[in-house]
Amino acid sequence: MTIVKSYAKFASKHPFILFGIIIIITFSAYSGVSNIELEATSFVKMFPQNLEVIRGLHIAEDQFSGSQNMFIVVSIDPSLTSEYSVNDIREPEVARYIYSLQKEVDTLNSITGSTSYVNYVTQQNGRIPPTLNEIKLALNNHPAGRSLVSPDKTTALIMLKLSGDIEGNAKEFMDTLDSTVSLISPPPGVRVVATGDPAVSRIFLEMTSKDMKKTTIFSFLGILVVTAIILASLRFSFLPLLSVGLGTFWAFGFIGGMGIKIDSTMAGIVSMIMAIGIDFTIQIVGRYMQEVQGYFGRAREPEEAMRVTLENVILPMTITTFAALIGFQAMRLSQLSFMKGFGVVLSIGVVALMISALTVIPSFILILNKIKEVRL
Amino acid sequence: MILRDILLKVGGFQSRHYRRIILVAFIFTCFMLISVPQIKLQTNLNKELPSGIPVINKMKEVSAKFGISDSLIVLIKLNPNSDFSNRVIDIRDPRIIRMVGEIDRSLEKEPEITHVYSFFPIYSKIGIPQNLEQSRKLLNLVPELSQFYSRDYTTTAIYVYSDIGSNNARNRILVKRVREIVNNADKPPGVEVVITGEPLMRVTLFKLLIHDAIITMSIAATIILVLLILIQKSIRKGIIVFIPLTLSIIWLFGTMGLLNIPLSIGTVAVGAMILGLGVEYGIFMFKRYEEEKRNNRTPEEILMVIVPTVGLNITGSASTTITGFLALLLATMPMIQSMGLTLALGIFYSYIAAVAVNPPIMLLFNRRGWL
Repeated sequence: MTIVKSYAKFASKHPFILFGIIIIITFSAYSGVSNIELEATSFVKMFPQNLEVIRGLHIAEDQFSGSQNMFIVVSIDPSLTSEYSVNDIREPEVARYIYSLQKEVDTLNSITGSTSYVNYVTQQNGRIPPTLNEIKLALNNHPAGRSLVSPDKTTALIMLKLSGDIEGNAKEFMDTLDSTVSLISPPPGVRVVATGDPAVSRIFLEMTSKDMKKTTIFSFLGILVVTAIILASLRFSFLPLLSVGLGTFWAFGFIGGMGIKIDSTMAGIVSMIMAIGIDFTIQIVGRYMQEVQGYFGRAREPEEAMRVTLENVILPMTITTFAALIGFQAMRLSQLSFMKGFGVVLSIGVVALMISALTVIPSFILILNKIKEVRL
Repeated sequence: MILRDILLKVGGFQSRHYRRIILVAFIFTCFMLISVPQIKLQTNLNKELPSGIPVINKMKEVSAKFGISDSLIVLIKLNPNSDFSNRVIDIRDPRIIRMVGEIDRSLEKEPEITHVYSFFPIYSKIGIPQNLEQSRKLLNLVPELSQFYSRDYTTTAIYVYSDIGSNNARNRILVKRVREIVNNADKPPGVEVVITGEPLMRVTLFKLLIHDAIITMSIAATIILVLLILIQKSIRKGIIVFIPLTLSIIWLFGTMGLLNIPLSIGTVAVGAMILGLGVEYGIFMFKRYEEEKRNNRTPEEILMVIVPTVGLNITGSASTTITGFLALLLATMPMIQSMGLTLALGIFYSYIAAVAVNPPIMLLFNRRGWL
């Protein structure tokens, strides 16, 4: 309790020193924040890697060149139908297109080879049969080739063999692949889409950054409005947000400094940290306003009101922070790998926001009061 | 201030009707408790992918059309750690061909399996080689066989297709049957069998979700309860703060069961998180109760003071926290959306439990002389 009282006394007496400390922490956090890296994740990475199903997936990918992880889908699109459209994905026109496309994509650095039904129908004499019937006949002898055509004959797959793990460069790889695919026009009525794990990784990466911005802005504005309503004061509603903003910045400074990457599962993390940390600031501001207004007896002067506020809220705040940390650290016992990272980032966030609430709020409230006094 | 006036009235109502409030909370909790077992588990990872994005839609379409989402791969690979003298050293060994044949034939008989795809039908046409040398030569003559072998001839694969969909029970049956067939096959020394594919992924995720939800929540609950008892230096006081937290968790999971919100990779940790975050409302309320008790107020007076003051601060905290969590609904990933929704719901229930139920419980404990 002595520490609590000493800090409450210090914070209420020396708001400018506290302000200086805030500036120093904020500048120190800057380099960490600039080191923050976004990382695309896949569902496979969310599982413990020693599980049989995951080991099996890796073996299938390594030994059989990722039969399920990257492919180009060539399909008949009903929305593109015209009198010239093909009706069967095995028609010679489509087969010739697939053949040309495979030749193009095979030249890409990250691709070691590709397989489609065309490889099987050309096995006989190296040429694509000139009629649909001949292609059907050729495929009859090749179940592997048939498996690359959908049962309704509207879709064909070109399986791509990748040279290694391209997850870190998923965006570059997909951009190159997309531009290569766009080099050759498909036959009428046919749509071509490259999809698979790298394509999903690229989307996740793009979404992570967009979602982060979107959820943070909405969260920020929503919290501002709700705080203004609850505290019935626009001035006092900005202070919690300032505290939360700085606390989040410090948290990400630490996260970046520690080299922790933010992956797709954490796209809402800023919003979550803000949502959790706003509690602390509201408890302090709310209690301070009640002390100043004399709700619990006599109205107190700002300095005394802040001291009494801090003396009364620090202990419950510490307990609640500790309880939140228990909840977040319990997540580290999870077998799902992504939850461990989530727990760590949320733990850093809650501690940073508690520190920011205990420094930013008293410092700014008392400095603003002193400025007001000087003006008067 | 309107909200403070409302809370003042709430405090007055609570001091007059605390027994009734506790009874209503008890009945509501029982009702919610019954709904908890209705929670479904979301093990289909495709449903965690955002919709409306062409590349992802195409991936889902391909997965459905080509039966990838319902297929298992049985990988038979050499075990480098085996020290049997007669161990298999090349996956083209005829003993492996016979083993695959046995597995292939058994799998084909299974009602859940639509078709099996392995090298065995080819060998059954051309004949099984007598020794490894003959097998190697045969592979050169029939290149179609090579697709079933890894490039370094350490692994072969059997593809097992079904149309079971994402039904958890059917997935479990399929995986169990495939595993039984594989285990019963005459396995030559020096090889190991690894099964993979989406049905097994779903079965594994089912187990992980249950494990993680129970472990994270029970550990968080135990430590938080011990912490509360230690801080309050009293088991009863610790329990008073913990009761509303328990109620909010039951209400949350009951609502998930009622509203069909599944336990998924997005919501699996929500229990532990709500325990950690929701406890603060009870702590603030109880701390203030004790503070006012030291000022020699009667329990009824205390409620009239703490509900409008601490209750107001808690209302502010909870509503801003809920707003922040609801912002996650704007995310594109379904797992983040469901996490935001359930967290917001959990915080709402923690708030209701702390402001509406906790003060009457404190009053009851006080009247009984337990406080």
